[in-house]
Amino acid sequence: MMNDTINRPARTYTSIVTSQFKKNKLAVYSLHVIYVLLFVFVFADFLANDKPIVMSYKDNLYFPIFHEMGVDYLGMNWQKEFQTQQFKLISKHFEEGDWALWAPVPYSPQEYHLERKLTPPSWAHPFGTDELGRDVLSQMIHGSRVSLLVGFVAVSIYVFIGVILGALAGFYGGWIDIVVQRFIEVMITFPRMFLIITIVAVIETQSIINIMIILGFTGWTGVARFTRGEFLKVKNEDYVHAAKALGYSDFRTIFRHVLPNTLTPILVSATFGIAAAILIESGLSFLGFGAPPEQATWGSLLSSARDMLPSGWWLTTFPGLAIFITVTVYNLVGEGLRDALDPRLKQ
Amino acid sequence: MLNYFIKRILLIFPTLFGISLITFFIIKLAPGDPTAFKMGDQQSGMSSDQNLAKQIVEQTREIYGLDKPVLLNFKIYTYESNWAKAVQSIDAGVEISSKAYDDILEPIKQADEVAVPFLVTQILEADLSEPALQAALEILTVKQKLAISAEMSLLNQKDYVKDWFYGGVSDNGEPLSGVGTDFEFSAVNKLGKIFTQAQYPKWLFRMLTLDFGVSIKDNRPVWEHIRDAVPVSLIFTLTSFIIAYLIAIPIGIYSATNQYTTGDKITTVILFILYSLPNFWMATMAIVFFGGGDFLDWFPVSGLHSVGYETMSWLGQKMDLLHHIILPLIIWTYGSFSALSRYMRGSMLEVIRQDYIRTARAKGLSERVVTYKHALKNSLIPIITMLANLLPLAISGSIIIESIFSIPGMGQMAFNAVLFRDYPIIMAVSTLSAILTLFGILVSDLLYALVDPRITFEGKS
Amino acid sequence: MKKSFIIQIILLVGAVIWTNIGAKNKEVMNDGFNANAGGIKVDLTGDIKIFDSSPTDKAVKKGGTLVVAWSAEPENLNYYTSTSANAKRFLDYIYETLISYDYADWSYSRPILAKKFEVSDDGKTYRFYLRDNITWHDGEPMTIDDVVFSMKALMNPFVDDAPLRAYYDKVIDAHAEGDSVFVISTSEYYFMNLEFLGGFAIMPKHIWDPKGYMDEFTIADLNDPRVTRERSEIRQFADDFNAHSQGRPVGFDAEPIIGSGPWRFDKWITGEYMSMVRNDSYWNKDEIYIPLMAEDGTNLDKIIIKTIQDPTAMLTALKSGEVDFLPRMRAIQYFEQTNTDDFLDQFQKVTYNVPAYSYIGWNNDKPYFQDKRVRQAMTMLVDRDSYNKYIGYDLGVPTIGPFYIFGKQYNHNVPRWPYDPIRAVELIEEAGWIDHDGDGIRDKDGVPFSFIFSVSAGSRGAKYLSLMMKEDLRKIGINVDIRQLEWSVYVENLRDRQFDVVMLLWIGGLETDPYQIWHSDNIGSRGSNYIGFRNDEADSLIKNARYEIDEVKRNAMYYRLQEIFHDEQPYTFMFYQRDPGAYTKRFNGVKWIPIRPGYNFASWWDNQSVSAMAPSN
Repeated sequence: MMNDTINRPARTYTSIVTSQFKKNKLAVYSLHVIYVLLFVFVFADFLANDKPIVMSYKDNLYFPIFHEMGVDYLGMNWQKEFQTQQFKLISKHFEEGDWALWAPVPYSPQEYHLERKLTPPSWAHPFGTDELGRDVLSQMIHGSRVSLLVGFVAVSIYVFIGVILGALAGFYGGWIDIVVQRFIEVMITFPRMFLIITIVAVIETQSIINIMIILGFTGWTGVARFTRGEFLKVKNEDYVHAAKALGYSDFRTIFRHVLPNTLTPILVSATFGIAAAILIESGLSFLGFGAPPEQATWGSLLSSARDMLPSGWWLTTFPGLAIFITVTVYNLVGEGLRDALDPRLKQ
Repeated sequence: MLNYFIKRILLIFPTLFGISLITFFIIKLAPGDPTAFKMGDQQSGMSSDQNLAKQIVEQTREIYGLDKPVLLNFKIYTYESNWAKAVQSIDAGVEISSKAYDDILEPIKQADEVAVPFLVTQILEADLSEPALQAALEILTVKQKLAISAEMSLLNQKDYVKDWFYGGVSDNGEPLSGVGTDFEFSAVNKLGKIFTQAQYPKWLFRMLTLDFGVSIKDNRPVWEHIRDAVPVSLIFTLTSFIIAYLIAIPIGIYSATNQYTTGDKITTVILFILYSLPNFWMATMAIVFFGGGDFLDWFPVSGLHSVGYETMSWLGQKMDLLHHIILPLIIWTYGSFSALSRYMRGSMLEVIRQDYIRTARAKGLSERVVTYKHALKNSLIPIITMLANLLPLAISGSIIIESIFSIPGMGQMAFNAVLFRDYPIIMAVSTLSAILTLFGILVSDLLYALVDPRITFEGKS
Repeated sequence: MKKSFIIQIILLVGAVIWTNIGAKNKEVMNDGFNANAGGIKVDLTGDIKIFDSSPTDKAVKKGGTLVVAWSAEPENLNYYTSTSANAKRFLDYIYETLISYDYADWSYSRPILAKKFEVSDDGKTYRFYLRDNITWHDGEPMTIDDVVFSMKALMNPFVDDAPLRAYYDKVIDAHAEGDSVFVISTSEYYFMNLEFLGGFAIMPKHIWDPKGYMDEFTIADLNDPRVTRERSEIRQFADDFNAHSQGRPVGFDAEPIIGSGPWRFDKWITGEYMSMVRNDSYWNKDEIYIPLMAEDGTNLDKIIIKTIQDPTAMLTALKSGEVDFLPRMRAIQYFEQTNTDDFLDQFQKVTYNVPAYSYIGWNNDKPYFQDKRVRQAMTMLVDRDSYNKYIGYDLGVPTIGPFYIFGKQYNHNVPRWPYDPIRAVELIEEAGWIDHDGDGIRDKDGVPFSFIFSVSAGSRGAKYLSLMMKEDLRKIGINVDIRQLEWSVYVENLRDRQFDVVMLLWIGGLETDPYQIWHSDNIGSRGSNYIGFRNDEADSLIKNARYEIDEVKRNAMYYRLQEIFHDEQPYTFMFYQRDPGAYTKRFNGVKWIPIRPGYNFASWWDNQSVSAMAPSN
């Protein structure tokens, strides 16, 4: 028996899913785009920064970008000579033997050059500059962090809450169902806009994280209702009765047996959810409740440049494309996953 | 089954009560109040000849009852100790221009008329320090609209209060009766004021008589606002729903029955692309390219009517309306295809693989009959679930599209009300949408049960 | 998997090469964008206070329709209770006041409804002599009762017009004397009294108070809570007044607003447009209507004011001919999107002055801004000219104080602080703000120099300036956090003084009284001096000037006040605004004036109008 399973390496669940997924070319390409986005997400600081990655100055080797992380997160201090952080100014006074390796996009998202405002795409600024003369590419690289985080965090929160509540309500029915349903109803009718405004106004430091959490804590009703619906449908199927007859615990029945069979619509709604969260963020930026002004996000870039159309086409085109590609790609991957995970495809 | 739905209908009322209570509380929790907009707005700046003086703010707040506690007014019993505390803090040197000063006086202000005789005795008889005396006089002045100005001497102010309360002689020598007796309240009276002098109970009582109140912004009854805005939004939401369903469901069925074909892939990608274009961006592009700027002049860019609409013929009016609607409607609709058709495709695929469909096929039924008779019926379940969302959405409008195309619909109205802190409108809109949502959920459950006989609503037995 | 990985590497390397090549030729300058946008710059300096931007050599024609786009709709059209500037702008064409601005010397003294007026020697009693030939739009004659009624409505404590009523708190009595004299008494002289006492709109009593609720009450009654409490009619009237249908005549078949002015209300379709038509039976049409503006009344047949919120939609509507006049467009539209020959052939672009100035307000009570040296330094740290040049397209007119630059109160001898970061850092260090603990942020007595710049969500200029400051000040060891707030929260924070730095716009007039904003009586929630400016000399100057009858003496006090402001720098005074606008060249007689909103349709006429003469009704 044991040997049997070990000798069948190709037929594990994961490998079935993987091989199914790989059949879907669109989804695979999309996944690669997500890899690139993840790469940008992780290395944004090294891709676009006004500080050098490595710098040799007066016979010492410095790593300003790493140092900046130390300052931001570990409470380190800048060296005396770099306190102004004007490395570009320092590099202009380089002496014999000093050198610096700059980030591929040698601008930070906040760095402004008024005299270069609204320049169309050029070698110096591949995606052009905005009304303050800030580099759009640099802002987009750093903005990708927000856009990706918004989707993941918000959706993780709401899928978690939604699945658990929906499963409980659907599986047990009775008063649990009634309470959960009332809870869902209250949440659905809740003025989400007001919650966002309240949080934005109450919390001292404006941050996109607040928005993600609000989206997460208010957005679970759809998933919950879906899960509940699926459970209602599935709970009378034979395998559930069989599980009960075998004396499995409810927990095991729900999460090992019923949930996998109801996962498909939940997964579809989750991938759509990630994509939707990115769009919601851009919509909130449009209404002025998005990220704080100093934090560039694709949504805020797009919405603040939107009313400059038709001049400054690069200001809307690139962030718009970024949003649209990311959202599409998430959806395609979700589609691929959906098909691959479908238990009824196992043959 | 019937019992279950009767129970559900009865449950709507406590839920509604809970929702309104929480909503009311949350919107009151949000900082900012409607008087801010009486001072100017962010677009044009603040007018230097409209001042922020507190008295103005308080008077405005009082007209709309915003100076009262939110839930229940117990301040009518605690004002004496509140006042004692306030006097202590004032004597300890809280600055009159600071927010703390206003905060400590807030409770006694909320006690309102009940506290008047007490304050008068405090002013006239108690040995208050000068700042405390000023505070007491200020509360009375603002709340009771006394003709006292800060420039009068304290002694004069005291005299004025005495005359006002106990009676005296007017400037031209006529005797004037005091108002003292107006402020005597029986215990029952006072008990009633716990409710009548608080914002939520007041609102609730009004709601029970279906009175939504008047808008703070323009003094118009709220239902008039809603009556004006709902039809406008309905034009868009209904048309857009119908178009979306008419297009998305066939596409979903097509994708499911032709899984993995090129046609399926192309429609998938196109729908996703449509979905992922932010609508405010597309709306602006549409205006720039089709609104007659430097490009094509096909559609008007704002509002729903041309000037001179009222003089047009019936057909002309309808054509004019259509002309105005097309552009926003396209923007409104294009993103909704993908979600719908995906759901349709997903549930269709699932149903197709069910045993009974295989059985049907095995029985030798034609593919058409299998698809449209057996599969379609069951795969409509998720679409029905979405129908529940349809009801409240029908009156919610779209903030973004309505504001870009200057359409006076529900989305814009609600959003402006939120920005303005126009509480009566916010409460009316959220109550209405709560009712519709609850009703929608109920209907969808009912349909659910009718379509899929496997679903039961009895508890686990 | 492998293949795609290689593709990614190639893409990445490509990007690196691309950008690094680019980094070498980065001196891309974008200058001269402001050089010639083909517009007219309205200049009101010196004696020129009315500026004509259209050819004046043609004969005036009657007729035609003008469509204007405004970005916001008023919440209602009740002259007293509406707080929106747009409502007043619209209603000023329909209602009239006793007196108004004289367009020759810009004093508030031109008789309109009053044929003359007298002020008593002590400056406390005003007598207005009403004309006897005035008719309302419905044909009823205007009588002195209408004037008295209007004053009473305004003073009714239950009418929702508290912000307006605040300016009439010195009024102790107002009554009619005979059939044509309106006498109004105040408790003390105030230099701007005429503007308020003669400047309220007169409303028809027979429409607003047909039952005569207010007849028996005097102003003294309305000021007396003993009376207002007891007499329910006062409350009743106010409730009716606040919700009167005249205040919101919405729909295709609403009852029109009845006024007395040269324009009749036509229609208001909510969210879409408001319109007015010429009043052909205007009582004043044979006399000179507004000297220097429109000598023989008004010319256009109809004015339609469309509400278009979205700036792109607005400009598109202008280009497509849906709209004829955009009073306010975005600077970028003016300078970059309207430079085609086509556009310039068809439209006239204009930048004109409006009496509103922007400023950065430093909360004087916060530890960092208590010292005036720091405030001076902050002013010198803001690169105002670059901001104006690049962000504002040079539209701003630099100012050193709160008075209108084209008015008599402005002191032109006070210098402007330069942009001088080096001197600024010296001043900051002189004041004791040095990085003692070596964390890169200056501090003093343990307080780090780190403040929050509050930005109102709708204000693009403030957002950009705050971003610039954050980046600039970081380099000299000052931390700026930016907080974007929606308007109602923003104002509440102002009122509660819960802010460090704000950037805002004050809208004033030709003459303003600095009392509300600058006197220490009005600090915090008690008035508009929310930054907490305290200066004894300034206080006494402000108080004394209010009651100074002699204009020269009064302005001398204001000159001194501006010197104090210069030294104290409670605000960093930024710029008086110039609004960019455009109209179709079809219109002539387009004149620009120094008071809000900067234009008046009375003089406009349509040179393509087919009807050479006014149609007679």
